Amino acid sequence: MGIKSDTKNQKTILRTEGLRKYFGEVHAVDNLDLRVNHGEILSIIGPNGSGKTTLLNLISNMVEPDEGKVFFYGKDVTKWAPSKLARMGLVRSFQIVNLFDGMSVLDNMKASVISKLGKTNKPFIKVDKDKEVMERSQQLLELFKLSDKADSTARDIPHGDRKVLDVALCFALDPKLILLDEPTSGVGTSEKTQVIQRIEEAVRKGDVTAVIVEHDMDVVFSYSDKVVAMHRGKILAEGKPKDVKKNEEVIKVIMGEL
Amino acid sequence: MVKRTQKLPFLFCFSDELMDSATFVIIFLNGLYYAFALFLITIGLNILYGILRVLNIAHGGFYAMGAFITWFLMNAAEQAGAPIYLVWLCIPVGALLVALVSITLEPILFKRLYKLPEEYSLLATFALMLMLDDVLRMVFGGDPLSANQLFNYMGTISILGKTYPAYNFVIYACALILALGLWAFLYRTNMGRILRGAAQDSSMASALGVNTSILYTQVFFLAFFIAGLGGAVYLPATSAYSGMGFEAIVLSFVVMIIGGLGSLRGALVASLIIGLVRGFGIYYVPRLELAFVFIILIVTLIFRPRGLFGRKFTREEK
Amino acid sequence: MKPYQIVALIGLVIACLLPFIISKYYTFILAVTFCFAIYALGYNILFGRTGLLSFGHALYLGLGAYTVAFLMRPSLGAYRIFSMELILLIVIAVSLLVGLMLGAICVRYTRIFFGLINLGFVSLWYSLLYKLRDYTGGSDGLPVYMPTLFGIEFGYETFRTFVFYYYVLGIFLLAAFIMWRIYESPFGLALKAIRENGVRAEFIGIPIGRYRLAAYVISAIYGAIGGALWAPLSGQVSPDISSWLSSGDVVFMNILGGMHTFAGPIVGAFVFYNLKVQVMHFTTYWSIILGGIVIFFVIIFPGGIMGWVSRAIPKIRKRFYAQKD
Repeated sequence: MGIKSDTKNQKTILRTEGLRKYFGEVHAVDNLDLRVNHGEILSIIGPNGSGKTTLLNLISNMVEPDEGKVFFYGKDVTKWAPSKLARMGLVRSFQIVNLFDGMSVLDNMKASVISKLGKTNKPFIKVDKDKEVMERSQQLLELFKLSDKADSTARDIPHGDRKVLDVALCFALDPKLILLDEPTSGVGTSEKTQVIQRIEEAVRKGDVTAVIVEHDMDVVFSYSDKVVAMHRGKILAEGKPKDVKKNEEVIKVIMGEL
Repeated sequence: MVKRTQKLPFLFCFSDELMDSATFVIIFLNGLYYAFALFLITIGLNILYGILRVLNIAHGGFYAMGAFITWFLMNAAEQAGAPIYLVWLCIPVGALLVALVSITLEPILFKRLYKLPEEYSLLATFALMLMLDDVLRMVFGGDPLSANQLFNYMGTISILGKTYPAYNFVIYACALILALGLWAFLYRTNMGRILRGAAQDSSMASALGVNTSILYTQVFFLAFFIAGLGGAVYLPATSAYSGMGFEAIVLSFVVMIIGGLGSLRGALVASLIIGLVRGFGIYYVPRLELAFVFIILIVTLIFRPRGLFGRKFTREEK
Repeated sequence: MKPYQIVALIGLVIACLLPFIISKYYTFILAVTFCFAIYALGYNILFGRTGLLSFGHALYLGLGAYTVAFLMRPSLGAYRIFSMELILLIVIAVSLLVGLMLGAICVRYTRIFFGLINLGFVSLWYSLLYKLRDYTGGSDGLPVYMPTLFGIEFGYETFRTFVFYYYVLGIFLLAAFIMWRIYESPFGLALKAIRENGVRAEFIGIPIGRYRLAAYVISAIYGAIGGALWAPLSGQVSPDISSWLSSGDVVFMNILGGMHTFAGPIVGAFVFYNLKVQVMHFTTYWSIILGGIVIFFVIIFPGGIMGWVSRAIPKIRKRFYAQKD
């Protein structure tokens, strides 16, 4: 289901070089070199504290690295402001759902859309009367099956929908690379498949490259093109899902956790 | 605005020559005088913010309350013909009375602010400050009130040929003892350890079985006592006047920012810096006294916004 | 037409007719209230919409007022400016500059720190007004002479109690219209997003620093215009306009009226200022009452008057339409 043919464009769009982040004595991320190729779905797995989220934070510039660089389409983006990165096509979702809670679902979407369309600096047009904004927002809500909840306040919709909305906000930006931080965490097992399916469908349809941090191994091995296993800030193993699954060290360190 | 130093005209007979050592010492001591006043208020502010995340704009009002209540006590003592040691007692008693106010205000008002976002405490305490200033004006009238028995009693001492009020040393001693006592309390007692822990992580405090409700009231008691003490101990050297609370609090905020929000060390160091820089600044260009303070503020904001000892800002605060 | 448009239209008609109905004194009070309404409206784009609480906004009120007095002062001789239109343009330029300068420093931080920094700024401004006697007149302040409106000079009485009321009303309407369009625009939505979740706004590509600065500058300009219009009405500007007590006023107006609605600040300004005038007839201890009301609203009624109204309207509508059936 998630396997892509090797004839797909293998261009590297994201590359990290010697990334290091310390928290006191602890090496959260230790000399990490990662490559992400265009169009693939790459999952990052690892036990708690292995540095997965820190890695995402470093790539999305939420946190500054102590050493090392991040290259996006060949440009050194290590010191860019997150908003600039987002506008350039590198977006992320959040493990702990991060929405505009007091606003309606539709307004959440509109906020993202106007950012993408470059309309935020226009103070005198009416946002609700702008066809382009409204149409695109509705389209995205439909893509993620949130249309029926458009007028509900983001705070009040079910958790699974909130996780999806978090991801949907990223998609509104027409991203080239999307970082998903545990998109199914906190979601009940009955809803999980449906959440990840909605996301995967959008990713494939939009030809977006995705890096997913996940704990749920079923999700990882069903949907990824490539898996990277982390441990103590370093890459333990990387490759196709079936190969990584068989890797002994990975089994010891990560599977043992389950 | 009544300047505190108006009570001490003989301090201003400097000539325009280069400073001699006597003048230097005098200016230094005046700087300390100002610094300790800031310190006594800011300490309470930092305690309340550091442990309870409440920014109490009204704190200056409790400093003022200390001054007014102590005036009342000293005035009554004088009229009753009380011996001098009773007048001395008015200072701690005045501070204590201010502290007692906390026992009523905390459950009624401050308690409700703990759970709300921090900005609510700004709003509510600002309103409280306005009320306090008016209440004090209503009770004590708009004219400045003075009670200099102790000040006169202590007389003057001679420093390198210049006269200097001896009472000021009472103030310095008081502030230093308080600083030491507070340090000892926070770093050497169990209760102090709990308070420091609560400052780091309030949920842990309640998880450890500490009765946070009583603890918080006690924190307020301590903070109010110190503020009241500030007003009380300074009263003999100056006067209690309407609006003194506002003046005090504005400068305290500057001290807080420069020293770092919630830092006690910061409060002491920043108070000293401001007091001394202002003291020497006034000597050379008296008109711009407050400007010196604010220049330091702006420089701090541009180059080290978290202050000398403040913690780094989280992403949400940027 | 939508209900709120009807209300606004009725309000406009009433506002135009009022000077013929009420006394001169109340017309004067009303004119002053509109000045504060402009001030409060501008403040809310920073406070209610973008979520930045500043206790130092009285700085801009004073900036506008003192600029007016300054441009008219006798020592300028032939360079004195009496044209209100020219004065307003200069006020806008000055507040734009000052707003950019101060905003660039304080907008890097939010929440409590932002509030404190602005408190520091207004305190510095206040003490400058106080100390620099030679320029600002110190505690006495400066007198404000009568400006010309569109080149026409008016008599003192007519100006203060009639003509200038309409001038202020006109500017208020223009200012309100502009602010309304900003609220409805994508920029306005972006500000809301920044308020709701600054971190997320950043990660969907909104340049939060720049936009916060823009909101700050807009509110600065509005505040200065409010102050500039107030100056000729008052006849005298003194440091008290930028005092601590004054700094809190606009915050309280917005909370009272409701900071999450457009009309809230306007309603708040009206209620607040008129309440103050009435109460001060009875007692000088207005702050005790004000403080009590604010604490009440902060702890029990954070939505303010308009917040209550906007929640009550659906309920009223339900009842009304249910009865129709």
